[in-house]
Amino acid sequence: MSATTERVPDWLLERLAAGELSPAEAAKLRERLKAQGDEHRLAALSASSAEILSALPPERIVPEIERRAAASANQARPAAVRRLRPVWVLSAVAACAAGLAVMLVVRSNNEEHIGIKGDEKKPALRIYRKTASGAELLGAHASVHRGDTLQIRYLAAGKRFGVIASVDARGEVTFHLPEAPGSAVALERDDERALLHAYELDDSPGFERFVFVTADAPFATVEIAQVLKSGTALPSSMTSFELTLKKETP
Amino acid sequence: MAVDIESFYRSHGPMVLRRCRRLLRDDAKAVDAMHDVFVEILRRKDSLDASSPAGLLLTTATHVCLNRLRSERRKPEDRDDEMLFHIAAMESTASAESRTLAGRILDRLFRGQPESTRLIAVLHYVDRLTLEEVASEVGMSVSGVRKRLRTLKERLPAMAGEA
Repeated sequence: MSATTERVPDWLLERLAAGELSPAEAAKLRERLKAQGDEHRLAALSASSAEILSALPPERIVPEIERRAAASANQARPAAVRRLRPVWVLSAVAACAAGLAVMLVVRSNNEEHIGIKGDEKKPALRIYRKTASGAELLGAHASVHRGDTLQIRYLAAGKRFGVIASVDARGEVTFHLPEAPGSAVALERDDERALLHAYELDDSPGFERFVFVTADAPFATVEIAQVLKSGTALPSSMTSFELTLKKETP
Repeated sequence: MAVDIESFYRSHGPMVLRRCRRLLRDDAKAVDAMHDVFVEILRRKDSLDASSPAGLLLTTATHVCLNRLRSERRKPEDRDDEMLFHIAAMESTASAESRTLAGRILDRLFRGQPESTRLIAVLHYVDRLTLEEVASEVGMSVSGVRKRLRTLKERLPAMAGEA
């Protein structure tokens, strides 16, 4: 590609506007912009910046950055051994097959599976267990065992941000989405989505309670960890879906 | 480096948002990613080089967006978008976690590539910087950049072209 005939890349234009290019590089780029009749692009950048700062002023953005940074720092401690080890990804075919095979709507203690056709869509989780022939969809309070491999899928139902975590009977919290502490993930808002990893259950006793927290605004995993550990209510701006699995000891 | 996040956002926030919009093609996701770019800057403030903050932020934004694209499942909108998905799928470790067939194939192709190869690939194949411009931006020789890209070119015909 030629340096003189190609449109000046936005990347270089931004660096030029920021005054970070050497005098020689800057002069060359300005010449290129002039030759292509694109000098207006620098002015357009300034206008764009003013527009963005007006719509997203520092007083609105900076506190959120600082909140996330603090949350990240609070959680930046040595990682514990994962109770749930990521192991595999359930194929879409297997997941579909399992979904078709089970097709149940299970409702118990405010826990429910993703609705089948006709139900109003709400944020929800589906949890599949790997079997010899494929996968089976687990209902609320289904029995699971150490070594079972679970694949989590979610339906955002239009919600924009989400966190998926699980807590065991000892109160230990494991994050699955995102897998590292930080900000809630921007969700794929329409279809059912599988997490990148599946998980192998450890031998912690009692139960494993999976929670899918969603909101229309960004939030941090630290908020969810605190709620799960303290048992307090979520902020009203968030919604949650829960599914508890019963862990059987051999 | 000392970071006054408010003045840093004022001077460079719009640029970061434009970069995130360009790569993610979704305004809400771009705004969310922009926050994380500045969080990343704060997190690494003690080890950052303050000589070219715009370059630093553009690079950080590119990495943040590539990491997000890795878990995206939307259909690419055009060739550049498709290329970004491919580059985002590149792994710097052996822990493949791709979720599509294309991703798995690309994972095999790019596994073990140094992390900066992703930035080099985005700058050249998506942002359309010349080899010389890429070399200048990433502080490598032109031959070094060409070598990095040649490895990809040999493995993936769709990327063949300029490198």
